[in-house]
Amino acid sequence: MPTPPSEEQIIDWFEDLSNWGRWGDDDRLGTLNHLTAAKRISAAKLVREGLSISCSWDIRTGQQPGATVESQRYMLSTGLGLDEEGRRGLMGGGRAGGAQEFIGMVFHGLDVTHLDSLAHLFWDGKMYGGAPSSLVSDRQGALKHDVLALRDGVTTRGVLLDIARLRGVEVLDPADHIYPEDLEAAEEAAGVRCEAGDVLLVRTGEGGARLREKKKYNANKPRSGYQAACLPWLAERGISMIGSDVAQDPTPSGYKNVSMPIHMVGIVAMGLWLIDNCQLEDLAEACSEKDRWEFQFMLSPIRFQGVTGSPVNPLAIF
Amino acid sequence: MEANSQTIEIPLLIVGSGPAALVIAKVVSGRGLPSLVVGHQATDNAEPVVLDSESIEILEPHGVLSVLRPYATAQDPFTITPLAFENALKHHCVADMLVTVYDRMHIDEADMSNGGLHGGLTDGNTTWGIYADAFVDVSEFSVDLNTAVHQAAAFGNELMSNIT
Repeated sequence: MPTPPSEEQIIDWFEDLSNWGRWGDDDRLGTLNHLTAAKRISAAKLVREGLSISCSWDIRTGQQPGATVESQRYMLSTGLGLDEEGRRGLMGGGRAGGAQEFIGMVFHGLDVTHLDSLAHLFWDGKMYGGAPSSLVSDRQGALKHDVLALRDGVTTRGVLLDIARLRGVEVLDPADHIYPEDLEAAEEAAGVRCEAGDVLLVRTGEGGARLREKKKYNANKPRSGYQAACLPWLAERGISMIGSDVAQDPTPSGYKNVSMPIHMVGIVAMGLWLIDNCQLEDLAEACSEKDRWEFQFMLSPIRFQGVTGSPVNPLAIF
Repeated sequence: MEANSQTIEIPLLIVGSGPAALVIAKVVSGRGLPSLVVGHQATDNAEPVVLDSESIEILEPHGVLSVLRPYATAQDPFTITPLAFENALKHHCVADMLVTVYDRMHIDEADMSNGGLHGGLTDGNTTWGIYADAFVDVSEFSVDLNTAVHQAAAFGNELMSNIT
């Protein structure tokens, strides 16, 4: 196993890997500046079969493993009774009906597939680009770096690197963290190379455990993920966004003060966009079957002002 | 059992089941201290309990009461089952960036000195070395919800006064 970087090294990366000011003083896109129009066009050319695969979990009401609170769905109007002719008469004309609801959730956490905006985390009281953390308030939410930065969505090339497959295991041992060497070995096995503007998805196999164990799945436990050593690698390759079937950072990470280095250095210093808790089982099966580990990737957040991320349904299109 | 090179350094390790584990985590988190809650299981007591004024005073400043309010069986006086109290508070702990929660794990080969603990944290397959500056086993705390909350706050406050 490669030697993990020291915590001092990681703290140095807040400066060494910083993208603050690189794309202007009021930059809102961070690493998505790597994504060019030419990249979007070339990614669209990867579509040959017209097959689209979701990388998201269902959002369900009731207690779910890893969910911070139960997701809420309150019906405002329903179809109950409208299939009974007698009741229908009470509704005026009686032929038209409809349903509406309120929904609510805490998408951050270990359950819902979600995007972290650059307002999600602070280091030394600052967000990406040096904006003060107090710009995120109770009254107004995030006044800077809310999810509206991605109002036009993301479409680019996606690459799946299946580390569980590389290791020949169902799910990575929680102490087996993913290093740049592993990413490169998986690239070689897949016959792809991650390039500027790509979205990188990494599979640990944890989603398979979640599928198998259903409601008994325990999310509150050590899990694998990207070792902090991946940060310079992601910067060097110009990756625009990363995702995985965990919440990116391994837990425990082995670091006391920067316990989530991918989140902290990634979001705050680099402006790196993260998609936590992807469902990569269906995608991995399709990639394996086709022996094709690159695809057109699409993601679009809800345009909810002041919000520090969004539940998302990322799509891989072949 | 597999050893590994990663270690966990944590200011406070909380083991044992019951509401006190979660209340301690929230009390010290509210004052900026990270903690690790290991092997917590909720009690299965679904008999509603009226929270006394001391418990209310303890829980209110840390936002805990607001989290519990939707799960209360009565608002005035504030009444909640220990089961609902723990289930709701547990999620709140998981969401707290200063609290780490690991279920279905336990500490073995622990060496305790000066209030801290050095030992192994295991899930049965993999073991992590753990260094905790402070350690509390809440299995010695009361099973009564109010008394557990009082004891948890007393522990948290004493710990914080020793640190600061």
